Amino acid sequence: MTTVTARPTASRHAQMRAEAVAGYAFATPALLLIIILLIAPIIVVFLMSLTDYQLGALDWSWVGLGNYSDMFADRIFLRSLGNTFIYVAIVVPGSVIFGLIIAILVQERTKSKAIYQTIFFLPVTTTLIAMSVVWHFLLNPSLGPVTSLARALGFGEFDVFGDPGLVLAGLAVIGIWQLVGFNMILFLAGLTAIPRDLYDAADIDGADGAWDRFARVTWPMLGPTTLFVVVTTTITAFRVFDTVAVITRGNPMGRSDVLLYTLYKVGFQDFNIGPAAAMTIAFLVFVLVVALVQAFVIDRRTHY
Amino acid sequence: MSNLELSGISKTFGATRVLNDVSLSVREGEFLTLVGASGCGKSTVLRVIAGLEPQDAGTVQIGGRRVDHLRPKQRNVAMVFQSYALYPHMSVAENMAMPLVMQRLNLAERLPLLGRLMPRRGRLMTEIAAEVDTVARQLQIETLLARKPAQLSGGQRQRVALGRSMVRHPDVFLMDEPLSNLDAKLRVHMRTELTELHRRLGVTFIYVTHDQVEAMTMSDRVALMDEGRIVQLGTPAELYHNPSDLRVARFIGSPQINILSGTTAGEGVAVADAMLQIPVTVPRGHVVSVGLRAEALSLDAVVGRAKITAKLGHVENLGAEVFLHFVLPDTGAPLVLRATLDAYEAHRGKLDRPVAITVDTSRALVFDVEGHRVDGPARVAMRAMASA
Amino acid sequence: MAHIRKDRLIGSITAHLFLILCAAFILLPFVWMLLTSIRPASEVFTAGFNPIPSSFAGVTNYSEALTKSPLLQYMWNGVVVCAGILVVQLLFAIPAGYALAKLSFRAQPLIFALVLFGLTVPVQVTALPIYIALANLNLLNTYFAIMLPFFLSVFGIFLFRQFFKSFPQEIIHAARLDGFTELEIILRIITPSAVPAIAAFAVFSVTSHWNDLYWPLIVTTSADHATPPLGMMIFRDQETGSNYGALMAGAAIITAPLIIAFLIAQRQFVRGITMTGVK
Repeated sequence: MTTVTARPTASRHAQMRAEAVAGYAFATPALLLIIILLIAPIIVVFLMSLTDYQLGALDWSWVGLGNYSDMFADRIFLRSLGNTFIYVAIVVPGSVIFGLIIAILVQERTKSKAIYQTIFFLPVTTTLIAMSVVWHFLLNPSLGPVTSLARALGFGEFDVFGDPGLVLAGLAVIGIWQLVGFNMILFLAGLTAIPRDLYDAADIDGADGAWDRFARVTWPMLGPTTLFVVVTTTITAFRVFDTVAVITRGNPMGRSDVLLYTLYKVGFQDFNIGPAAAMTIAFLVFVLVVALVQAFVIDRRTHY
Repeated sequence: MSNLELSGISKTFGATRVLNDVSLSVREGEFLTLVGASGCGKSTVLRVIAGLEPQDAGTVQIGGRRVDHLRPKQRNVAMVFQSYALYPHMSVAENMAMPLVMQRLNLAERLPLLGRLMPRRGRLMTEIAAEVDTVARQLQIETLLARKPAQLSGGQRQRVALGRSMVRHPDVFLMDEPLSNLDAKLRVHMRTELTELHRRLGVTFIYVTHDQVEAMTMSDRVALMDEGRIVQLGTPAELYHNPSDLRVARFIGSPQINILSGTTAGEGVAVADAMLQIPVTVPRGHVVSVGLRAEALSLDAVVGRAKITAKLGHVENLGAEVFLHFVLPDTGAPLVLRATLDAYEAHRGKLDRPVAITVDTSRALVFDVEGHRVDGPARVAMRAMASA
Repeated sequence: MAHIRKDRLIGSITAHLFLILCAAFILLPFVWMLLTSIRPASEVFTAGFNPIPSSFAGVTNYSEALTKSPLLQYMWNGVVVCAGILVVQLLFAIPAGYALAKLSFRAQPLIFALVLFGLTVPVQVTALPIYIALANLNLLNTYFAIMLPFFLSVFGIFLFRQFFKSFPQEIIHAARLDGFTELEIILRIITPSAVPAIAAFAVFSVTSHWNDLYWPLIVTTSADHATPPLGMMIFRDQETGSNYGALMAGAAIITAPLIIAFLIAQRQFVRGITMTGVK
């Protein structure tokens, strides 16, 4: 046998080379899009947040962190932030708890399971803008059936979207209406993953009542799913925009101004680019924080 | 001339050394099996030969030609995968035709729709279909050609995978545990079929398995691998009767070889209450392992042969023969003895007490603490001749 | 035995009552939309909670919705935008997903890290610079402007990468031995096997962009390129409270395509839309 002289390195190996060439060929177009549509805009928006640039203006200057300090002193921004948190604080528990209850009840149905699933999922697929118009009409104080029903039942007059105390709750009801089916599906997936044996074991151990079964098996086994549902719902609720844009436009008295709607008004109606950019960065920071929590939650889930 | 030659192949994955200086020379038309426990590197050897994975060092030659710089498709090897790797969305006929389509049609002719307009395509496809049909007949799957892989049984998929590798008439067939997904009965049957197929085609087979029975029954030669190295390369008989290493002795053979601890003494090795007259190259007073195959032990008393006293535990009755599981009284070490049913019946009466088991010293194997053979070189050579 | 059956029955009845109540809440806007869309205009103001229309005015309302506003144009715009976005997304995401899942090259971990980062960034973050760029290039009020930010779907890349990751490596090895080029592996092996993933992703992509309001609202001001949600807003603003019958008919028309598609292919819809939740 001859001694080995040539030592082919990995890079000279035909298959490795072909794979690397193909890898770059297939990934580069997507990478370019990532740079153009994601990375560059984020850098630009950050730089703009440090300027007093106005759309169409010819000269602009650096203002450092001025936009940020203005933002945190701005009543409108703080109010919209507060409103958003109130909205999230209603929608998240509402849609998660109802999603869970409905999922558990639907899971136990046999013949009617499919029809309930269809009904509850319906709002998830429909165009929220169109349905917002319908909701607006439904809750219209003079024409809407809900208010006339309330009137007939002796609850008196109320104008959900005109009442500063009710408007966020009204929007949140629509938010829950839209999200509950989505959460139901996620919970159903979690429920199907619970082994039947556990319920049988609980039965034999004496935990056979509905509440015992829920407290001893369902709820602990759904823990990871629940955390996950809470996080995704939080992200969705935090991005509320459509209902506000169609129904209230921030009214009455700014009580339904939410973060993205304010951002839209400042950036794309008033074209105050610098302040809008600063708000965008604040929004991004929040989203990234939630994403970190989410990563942590998913991590927990895999270790379960 | 050798058909396939590996020299000094080494490979690491991260910190793990998967292959460590593997050299192997395979003769034209040989059926060579790489056998070993999972993770020993045997499948990696196949992938390196096929060019699917690069080696860190060493060279591969096929038909006397260096192939390290060639892409997998240029090496003219065919591979049968453990999962069969059939294209799930293509019919059996399309699966089998694929290597030929890729070989004979140019890029334009392979285009999904436009390809049909190319002038040569129709004729080539007819030729390919005819060849696929011939191979399908050889494998008796011609009635399955229109089906999708999901509609086939395990054995049928196995044949389709074989067919796909046969159509291209490769220089070397590489088979990566092709029978491990089949049920026990079909596996035995396919062993015969593969051996028959190899005889008929006369092409080199490199076969990877973790099943020593497959290795023993099918191969011309077997390479036993452990921790990325070839421990021993030889005919099945050599590996069985004349293992160079304790790992080989343990891996090959069913029931597993009996290993008893012994001590070298003046005239041989002391094992339990017996003294085996075996010349060893280890100085006296050292601990060694003595390997005794089940058939090297007997219940019949033979004058002049060493005897070990043991107590019968349980009996495994296989019909024509029985495995008697003994236990040594002092150490509790197990000892399996292979006997014919008649011999067992003849001795049955005395087996409720400890009995003397006769040892055929000429078939005993002695290993040092590192697992190397240490019974005299003359004996090793003699046994090699006997098993050849 | 008897008491168990009785308990079960009571439990089942309570469950149904609760579910029916919830379902009624979910269906309320749909039902009211349909009822109002066939109600005569005169009755809308006096209907109150009397649900059943006295006479059928569906033809009037629906034809008015279709003639008083370019609803069909909005829907066509929606089709063009969704189709354009989906095709480009798939063209970029499938090869990238394959490269990230099955090929090894040095920049791979970096690109995958960027994809994971991108998953967390909503379109509102990049909207401002992209809008300014489009405005400077005089590209506002075009289909291109509405589609541009969504040509990149990091979610699509991620999804296909995960899907291809579980594709058997042995089949790809077999294909390489058979002489496939990497491009042919994508076209002839990977893509056909990915049909379920493509279907799910298509549902996800089409529903989110058919329903999206934020970005079209920013880059379009004319009805020529308005997508259905934006069209709905324009329509509503024209109809200042005068004709709810036609407005509800318009809402019904705009929501109909996705609802019908959902009712036909429920499984794919549920899979596609909840994919974001179960990654």
